Amino acid sequence: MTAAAAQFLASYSNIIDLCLLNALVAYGLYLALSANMFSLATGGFMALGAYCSVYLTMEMSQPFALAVLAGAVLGAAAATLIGLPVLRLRGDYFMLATFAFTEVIRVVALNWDDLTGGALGIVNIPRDTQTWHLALALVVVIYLVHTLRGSYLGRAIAAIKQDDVVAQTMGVDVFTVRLSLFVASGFICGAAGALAAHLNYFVGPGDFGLVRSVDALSYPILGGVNALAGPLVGAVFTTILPEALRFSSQLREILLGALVLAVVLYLPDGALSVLKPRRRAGNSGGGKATAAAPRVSP
Amino acid sequence: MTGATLEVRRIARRFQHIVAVDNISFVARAGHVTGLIGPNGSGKTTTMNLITGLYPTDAGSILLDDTTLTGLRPHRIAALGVARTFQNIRLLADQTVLSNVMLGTHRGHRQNLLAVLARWPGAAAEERALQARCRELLDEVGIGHLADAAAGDLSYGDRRRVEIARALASAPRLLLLDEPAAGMNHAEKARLGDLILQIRQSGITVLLIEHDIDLVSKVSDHVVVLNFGCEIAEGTPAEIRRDPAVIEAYLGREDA
Repeated sequence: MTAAAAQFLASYSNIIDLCLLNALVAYGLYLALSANMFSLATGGFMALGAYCSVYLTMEMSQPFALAVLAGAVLGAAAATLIGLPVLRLRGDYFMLATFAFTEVIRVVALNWDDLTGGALGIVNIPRDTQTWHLALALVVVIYLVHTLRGSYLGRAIAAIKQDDVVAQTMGVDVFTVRLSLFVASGFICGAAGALAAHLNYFVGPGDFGLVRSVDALSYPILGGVNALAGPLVGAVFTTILPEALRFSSQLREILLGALVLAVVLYLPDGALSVLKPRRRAGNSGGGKATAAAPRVSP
Repeated sequence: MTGATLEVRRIARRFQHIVAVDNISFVARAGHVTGLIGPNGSGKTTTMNLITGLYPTDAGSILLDDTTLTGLRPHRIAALGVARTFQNIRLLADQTVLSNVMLGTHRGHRQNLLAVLARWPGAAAEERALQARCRELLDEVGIGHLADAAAGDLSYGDRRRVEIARALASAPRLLLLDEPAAGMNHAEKARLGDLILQIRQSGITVLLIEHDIDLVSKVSDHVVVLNFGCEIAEGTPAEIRRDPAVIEAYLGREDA
């Protein structure tokens, strides 16, 4: 490695770690969004993963890898418990329920002083998370998502997203597919929470609230959910942008908000859609008969 | 694949205060084409949604051979060999025609999630085999040359053919066609009639909901007529055309 590259990595290692971590979360959300699940549970899953893993490494002296796995499994278990009753409901109720879950976890973290340190949080967490851990996790997740997209299961998921009545009629078990995706999302977010906790020396209840959930949702939406690289692009962009806008702390929030708005308004399929050739006007009009069709709940 | 007999026994379905299906019974015999006709609002499409499980029935039962369909979720009913097309065409417009038809093969895939994620060679082989089958089906319905076009770019009649191919891709024992000729011109209707007879030849049971009485007469072995959520007549196409109750339902009472 050349000296310049080494210096670059040393100066920017924090931001690189953050980009990788957020990209990992973005793919967790991508899995949920790919079947129309607007999940606000990310903060809750990450908090579970973080506190569980920190407890295992600091109190139980367990190995780091085991702690991350335990955090991921706890996230997946929580997703199962929420998903089983709630995924049968309409989409807006799902969003409310996942929001409530994140709030409940935050309030519990705030008040369970013995385990979470309450409002003060936990300090002096060993910095076990290495950049290559994050990179490896991200590569594995992207590979799995890519493989899934190209398979018949990916085709079924795409059908659920566009028209779940058609998917059911063609024999797709919509409920099971959506539950599985949500559980996978919980697994990835739980692991990400564990990795995040061992990256910053500190966790507090404010780290994993609603803001975290909304941010996580914005990565794949901004980057675009129709392309494999969308969540990655969205996460890296959203992570680097505040750093690039550091010259003015007041302007920063405004510019960030304006950019998000611009992407939503002008690139509704996400930022990556600028790369795709535009379809001729009028093409999409005839085929999408689904908009007018009555929705039938499963 | 041999067809199955569909038996509908005294089914009913209401939406709030509107009785969409009051009391309907009929049998669609295995390997035959059964026409289901009736004026608008007579309960045809609701009947189809009850058979495919999209709506629960309020009363009555539906059997496919000896299996009860009532109470099963739609994907279970599909797995038993019931496939359908939609009156308001429901294709994934931005995907290719082939990809749309491949959705119909979902139940034909035997490889599980692990095999897929591990890129087990069997999964790829299975996908290729089913893809070849879908291209054949597209040839059979007469749009093989459009396999790689976006479904949304196709003409109305061709999109209906894609829907039929998608339904056939699930290797059904019973095929439900919901107004397949709606919006088609004369030549397209004639070709559709040939296609339905061709499907009948392959042994699949067909239940055809249709307004076009000429098409129904041409392809149906048996016709069931609905009005106000009840069946009012049944018989061969020729008998139906002479039936006074049917004429009244469509044209009104003569001495009115």
